Amino acid sequence: MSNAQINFLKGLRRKKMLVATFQILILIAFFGLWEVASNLGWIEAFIFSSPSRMWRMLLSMIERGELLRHIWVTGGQVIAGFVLGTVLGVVIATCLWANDFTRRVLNPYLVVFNALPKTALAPIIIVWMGNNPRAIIVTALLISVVVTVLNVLTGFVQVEEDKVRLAQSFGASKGQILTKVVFPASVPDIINALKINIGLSFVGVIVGEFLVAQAGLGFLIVYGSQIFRMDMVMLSIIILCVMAAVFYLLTSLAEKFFCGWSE
Amino acid sequence: MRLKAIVDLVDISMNYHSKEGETRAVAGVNLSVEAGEFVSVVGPSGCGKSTILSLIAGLISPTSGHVEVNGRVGYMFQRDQLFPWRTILDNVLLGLEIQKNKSAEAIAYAHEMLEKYGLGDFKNHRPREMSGGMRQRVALIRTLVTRPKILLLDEPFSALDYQTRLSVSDEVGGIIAEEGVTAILVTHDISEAIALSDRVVVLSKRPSRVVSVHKIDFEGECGTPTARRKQPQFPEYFDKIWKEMREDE
Repeated sequence: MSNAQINFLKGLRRKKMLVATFQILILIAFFGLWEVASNLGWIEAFIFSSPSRMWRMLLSMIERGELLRHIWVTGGQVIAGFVLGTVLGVVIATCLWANDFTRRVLNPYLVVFNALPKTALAPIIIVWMGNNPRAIIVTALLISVVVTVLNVLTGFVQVEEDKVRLAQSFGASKGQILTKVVFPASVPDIINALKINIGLSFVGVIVGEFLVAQAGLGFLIVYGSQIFRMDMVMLSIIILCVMAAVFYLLTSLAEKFFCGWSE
Repeated sequence: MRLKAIVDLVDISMNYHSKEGETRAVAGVNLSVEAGEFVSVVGPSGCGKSTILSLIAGLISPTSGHVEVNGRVGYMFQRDQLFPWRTILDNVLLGLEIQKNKSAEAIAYAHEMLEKYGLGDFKNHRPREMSGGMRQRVALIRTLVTRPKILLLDEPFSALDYQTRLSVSDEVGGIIAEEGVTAILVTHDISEAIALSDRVVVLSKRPSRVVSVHKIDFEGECGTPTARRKQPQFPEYFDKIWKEMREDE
């Protein structure tokens, strides 16, 4: 390796380090400022909480063993809503792809349903399904399913026509065109749908928990704000941030694994 | 006595319908190809050349006329259409997979073909790691492993740059001759058609009909398409065909 190349690589690494340093600095500055502001009385700690109060809340909740339960409840519901929404979305997209007539008939309904804020349906679902986690999962599922259908269907339709003709020239059936050509070619679109759906599933679950839950982070947020325990509210939100980051990371890994070819 | 044709198009006409109206793409084309022949179809762009290949492949049916094809057809497209998510070997096995014919023997044949045509070291590579010329060779092998009798080539070199184009048409021409398949090439490149074929069919602009058929004969038949380009008769054929295409305009 030439010196210039070594320097170039060094430069690259330095830039990367610099970016990471600033990313961490922002985090430290944010929490540091928050702590200082509440200690010096610039903000009212009772309303705005503070990192140290959140930390104490975290420890006491872990001690009482309830925090993990809440995380588990919310996480489980998010995963269930997200997996069901994605699977159902892909299945519906496949049916619509296979049947042009149905696709044309249903298109305006899909578009309208997509524009509708699905959280508006949450109270109805709760009335229909009862006061239980199932209603929350269905809410989360409803939010993600339409976007998935639209995204995946677009992916299916955009597959290069000659790729399909190639398969046909080998005598492929419609099913084979789906499994050998259209489906694998659309994996990047499906992964993209996954990424969007994680966020949406969180929205659905939290809204659902606001309305009915006896447990979960959404429940903690509502409960905490009602009894003016802002430490509990803020802590729950920060845990939600961390969970969202972890889920996002997992889909990124899935993306690397399943569509390394599409670069 | 005339040999039985492997492909026979009898008085084919083809109309396309759209909201704007009816377009006559092909008007009474007759074309008969014998086994082992290499026939090129040239004509101005948009003259319905690809339509003729789709008809032979059975992807569409003619408005009127009769298509007879005696043997399995393989198709090669303008772009290689290798699947980026499959390795080279898996791409080559696609046709066998679709035809549910992945016998040990067929797989061995696929390996043999890849080795034979210099792609043995790339079996586990992805298409994007390979040059345009190599990819087009893989595309040809993908078709050949299903052992077609007739190969349809739809401007298979037009997406390549000029130099690659010359060497790939040498390679592809060589592979086709070696494997003894019948080939029908559609192109708008007259010199490519002359360099590769036994016969060149000139089509008129749409609605297309056959303007003329040229038997291409080089003295002391000389191997590769590039070598044929250097023959003294080459420009004569070129001028004749070019004139016919211009007169048609």
